[in-house]
Amino acid sequence: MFDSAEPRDLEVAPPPSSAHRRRSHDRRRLATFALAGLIASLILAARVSSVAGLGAAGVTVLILGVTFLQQRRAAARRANEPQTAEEAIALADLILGGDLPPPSPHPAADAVDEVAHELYPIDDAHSADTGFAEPAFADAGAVEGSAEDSADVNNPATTENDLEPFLELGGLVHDLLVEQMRVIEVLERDEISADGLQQLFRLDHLASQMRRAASSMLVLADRDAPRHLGQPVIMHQVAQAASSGIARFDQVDIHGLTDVAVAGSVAADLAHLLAQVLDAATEASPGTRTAVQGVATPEGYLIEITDQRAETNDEWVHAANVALGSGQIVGRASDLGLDIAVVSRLAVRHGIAIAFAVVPTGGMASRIHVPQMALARIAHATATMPGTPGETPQAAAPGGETAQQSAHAAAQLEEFPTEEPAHEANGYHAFADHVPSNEVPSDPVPGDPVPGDPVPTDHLPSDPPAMDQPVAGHAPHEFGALAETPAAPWDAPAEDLTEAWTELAQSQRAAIEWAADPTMEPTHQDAAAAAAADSPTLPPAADEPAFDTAPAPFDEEPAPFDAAPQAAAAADGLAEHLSTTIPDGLPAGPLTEEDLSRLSGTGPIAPPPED
Amino acid sequence: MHRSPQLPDAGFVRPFVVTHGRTVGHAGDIALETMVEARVLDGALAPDHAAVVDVCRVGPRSVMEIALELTIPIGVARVLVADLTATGHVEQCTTAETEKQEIVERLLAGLRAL
Repeated sequence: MFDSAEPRDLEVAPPPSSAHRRRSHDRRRLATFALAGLIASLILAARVSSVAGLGAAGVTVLILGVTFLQQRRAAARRANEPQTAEEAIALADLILGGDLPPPSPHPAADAVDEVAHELYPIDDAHSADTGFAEPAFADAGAVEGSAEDSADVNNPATTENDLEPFLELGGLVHDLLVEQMRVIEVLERDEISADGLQQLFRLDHLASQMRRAASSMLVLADRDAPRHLGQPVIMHQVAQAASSGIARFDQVDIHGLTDVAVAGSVAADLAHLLAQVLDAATEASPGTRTAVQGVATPEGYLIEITDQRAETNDEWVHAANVALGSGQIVGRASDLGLDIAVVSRLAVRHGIAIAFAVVPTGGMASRIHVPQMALARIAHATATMPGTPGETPQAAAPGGETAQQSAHAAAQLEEFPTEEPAHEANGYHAFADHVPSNEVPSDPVPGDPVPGDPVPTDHLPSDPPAMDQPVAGHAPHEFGALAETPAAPWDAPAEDLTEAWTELAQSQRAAIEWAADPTMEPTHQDAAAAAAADSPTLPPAADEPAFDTAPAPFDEEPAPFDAAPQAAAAADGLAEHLSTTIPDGLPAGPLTEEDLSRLSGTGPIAPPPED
Repeated sequence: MHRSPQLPDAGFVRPFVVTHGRTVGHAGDIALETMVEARVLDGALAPDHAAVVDVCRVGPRSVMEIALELTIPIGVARVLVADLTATGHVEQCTTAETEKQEIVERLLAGLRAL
């Protein structure tokens, strides 16, 4: 049953588009992972016989999973999604020389259509709506394929319901890989030989990549289980987790990111998202360093991933920014590639904003803004300042063994109330609640950061800069890799941070303005009022004991919400908030320790307003 | 279905990332029983290295003890300690004869805790 789709998939002469190249790249990569899995399992089996069966089973199911993804992709092309319909038109256009043919000149296609229409009478109505998309696609298959192939393409039975087994297998692959990684962890823990540890590291690295591939597969199918880490995770560790899932992890330099933590319910998804971006960045710039750094914003935390790729594609950057800025999920068949499809799903889920920009001095910057509601604050300023390693939480450790760390982290972190579904659905509106008190001393109306001041209505530039315009002077810092310069200072000097903060804030503002629907007039008063009405939850008091919110049960489904209108309205609100708070909040000179503390959100927390 | 949410998840950060894939630190191979203690130096450290210094600040610790305390693989702790030895953030301490008994006992306790 697997084979019936694959040859069909290969026989279609696809357009020589970037989408196709991207897809074959993805497929090659998945095949590589399958092969890597085989090698990994064999090594593992030779090393420890008890896990041989596990490894072999993992590989087998992984290969099935790859097949599933191909099947799924073929199905996505067949499905009636808008983007696949467009692709079908483009495909037919290319194959047929640009002119769409009259519907169904092929007898086999006619017969298939009859069957299909009997089974799915609603398709008639849809075909009437879309006009040409379906017949064109059926014909594209019929022109170069056999009647049997056409039957397969149009067979309605190979749709969502039949994908269920593949989705199940995808989940199985993922879980087996997690189990395999746990076995590897146990072996790593006691390995004394440096050579032996090197081999285990390779196994671990391969398994981590396979796991990310499996996770991506599940995310694309909307079938990934919510992963709650049970406690906030320092952003530095989230970035480390992200780089562990990519092939060129040794190119990644993580600077700072110790001044903020991510809620346990978001950390795994954020790591996955960062991994997708890091993977693209490092693959595009082999042999060079890729920097990850971040800065706190009034609305959350901005992470910037800067690579030094030689070739940048302005068109892609623009298209990706448009797609991601819309707040809509980017389809699987998008020309932007599967990476962006995965990223967009994860971003929409957590209200994360993403934009790319070409760096004039070379390379590309990927900016990821994590909303405040997804963050946990580090309670004591001593833990946040670079150069005071005493309070820095320890390195991450194998799961299930982190009792000490839990206690340690619990003493330092306060998780914002992130579990309320209503809160999640509020998007950016919830940010205003969590602005540090010294930023907004007594804010009676969340969302209106300057109480008493009239809300300016003309502060938005009429012509916001496009996101793909170069951002001046933000070249990646020349930090040596840890491997070359051990224990070198890894934080940017305060002056650089000031500069970066200014640029990132401007850039983010531009991104948000630009992401907001340009046809929609900003109604800031309405946004503020909506924020006030929609954000009943309050930040914890300063002396409140560390996060006491129980981890969400694993089987609990996340509250579904329609992200598009929320994102548009939220972007509006954030644009207003940024434009009103940033000019006042920006320090004029180099940052002082107090500024850093404030920017990191470590100042005293506002007492809960009286409702 | 295989899914078993009750099982603890695999470690969030994989150990190989902590050492950038290295299994030998900058000061070369270091014995597991080597005792090191922290030296106060200027300059910021990456969080993983800082955590090791933090542990050693209390008093001399062996590589194995550091690994246990931070719940990181022994090999990773050894790399971190070797890095820090190279930069002078930790220093190997020479122990007097009379302390050997205590060290052996602590090492034994560490091994039992494994």
